[in-house]
Amino acid sequence: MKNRPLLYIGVLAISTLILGNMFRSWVFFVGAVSSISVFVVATRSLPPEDIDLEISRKNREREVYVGDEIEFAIKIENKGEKVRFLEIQDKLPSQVIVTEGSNHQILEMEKNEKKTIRYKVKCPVTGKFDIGGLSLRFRDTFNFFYKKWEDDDKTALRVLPKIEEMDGVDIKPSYTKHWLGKIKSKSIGMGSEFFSLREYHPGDQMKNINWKATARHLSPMTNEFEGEKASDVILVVDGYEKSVVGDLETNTLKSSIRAAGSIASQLLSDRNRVGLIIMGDYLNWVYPSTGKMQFYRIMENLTKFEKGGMWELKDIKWLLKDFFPRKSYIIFISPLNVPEFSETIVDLCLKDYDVTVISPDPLKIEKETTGDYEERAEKICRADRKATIDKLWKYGTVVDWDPTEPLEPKLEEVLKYQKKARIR
Amino acid sequence: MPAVLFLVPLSASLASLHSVYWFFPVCLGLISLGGFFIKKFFLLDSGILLSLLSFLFAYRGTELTLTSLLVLIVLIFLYFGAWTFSRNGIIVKEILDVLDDVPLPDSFVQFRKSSLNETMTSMFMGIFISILGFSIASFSAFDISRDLQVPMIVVFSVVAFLITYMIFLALPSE
Repeated sequence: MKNRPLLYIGVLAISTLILGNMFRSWVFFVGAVSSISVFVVATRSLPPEDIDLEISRKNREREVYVGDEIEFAIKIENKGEKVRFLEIQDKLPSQVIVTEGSNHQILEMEKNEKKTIRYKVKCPVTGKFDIGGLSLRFRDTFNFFYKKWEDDDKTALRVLPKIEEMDGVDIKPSYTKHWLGKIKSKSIGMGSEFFSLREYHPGDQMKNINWKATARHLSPMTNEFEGEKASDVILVVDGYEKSVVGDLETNTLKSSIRAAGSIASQLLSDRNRVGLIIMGDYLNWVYPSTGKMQFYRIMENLTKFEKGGMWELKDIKWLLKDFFPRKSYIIFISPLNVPEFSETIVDLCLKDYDVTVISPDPLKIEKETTGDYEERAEKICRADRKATIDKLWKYGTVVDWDPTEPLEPKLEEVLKYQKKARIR
Repeated sequence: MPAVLFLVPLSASLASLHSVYWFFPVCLGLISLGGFFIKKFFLLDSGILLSLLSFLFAYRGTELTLTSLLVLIVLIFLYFGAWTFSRNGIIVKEILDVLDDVPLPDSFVQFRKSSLNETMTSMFMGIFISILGFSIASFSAFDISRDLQVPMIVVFSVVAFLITYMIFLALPSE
């Protein structure tokens, strides 16, 4: 393909010839001869007929937590003639930021030479992005000729919400189901904590026989254990457009997603069945299940979660009633900006659901993202929020969480308080 | 690099001091300098082209000697070299501008070196071909009556055009 400098050289050659004829001057002829000779020299580095590059990416799919760095490597092997000026650009979505190296490089490649382009990126938002394909351009030394082509090889990058370690948090739903878990059920069953002794019955496992007690009673005695069970937990995340406060990088939705991911991880490691309902751009749900695959399912849904307002909040009620197991433990994650959301929570509590609300404080986020803040407005909003939280405390547990701080200590504190209140 | 874009037109002006139009090359060279700073290829290209043409215009009265011929050819190729090098410089600058606070990748350092080497090699080859071409053209006009000189120049021009056209045809198209 021909380029603009080539046109200029052509113009120079022709104009100097015309001027040379006009002025009958040797100087212009030297100009014309020089232009043509530059042109002849440039043909030396014409784009090779067969640019044969083998391009390969290390991975087709990558996963990274939001804000973390990830390295991409593109291997290029020149199987054709020498390429002097090869411009390579790996196309990146606008949300991705290059932190080290460059996705845009200029290479000189000898025949059969192998090179690897490496660069690191980070992404401040969650989602699924395509990294690539490659845009390649060959130029000659004088920029007279170039050849452009594309390579569609891509890597799918999944930016997952960051999760917190919540080992210290002991989430105990009021209702347990019959399968094994880590929640002590106050009844005899399978578990590790000693509960009582009883006489041996045929069929009891040998390992459960208490030999000391057997010696004392002169008849076989068996240990009984406190049953450890699990529960169904449904996480409901509020992505209602009206309730999202903050900018692209710091907002209540991001905090809610982080909280949901962290709690899901902890609950699944405690062998609970965890489900998810997300209300944002679309209404989506993940049916309760256990295991690592379920964690990935939940994370995938949280990853593509975007704010929206197409759905009525009352839809959650019929969804929970018709599609999810009864007596599930429900964890609402919402900034509680929309009054309908608090009303929905009250309605569910009245229908005998065990509910906990985790509310990332939108005022703290707004204070952090906007420097200018009116004190009186803050006081009114805070009073309004306090009234909503006080109202919800009558029906369930509410965690008023400052999203600029980790969730674990606050959740631990509230759950301990709730446990003491139950004992009393 | 900006210094090169100023020094080459300045040298051209100094070489054509005998002419009343000596200041044309350096003044028009400032256009290309501006184009380089604002990263506009059009301004850079136009500035170089106009400055070079104005230099040829200012230099046209010079008598043909070996020194004047060498000065002219060297200056023309210095123009081409500065032009090529600045164009590559703008391309690299555009790429690097996107990378905030990121250290310069090794490939760019390597490219700058090889680009300079390649430009210098091309310039020397160009100078050699130009001297050869002009010598052939001059010898072909030796001992020819003044009446025949104009047709000879026309023939030479036609051959030059023909060569240009043939090279265009020889270029691979996409």
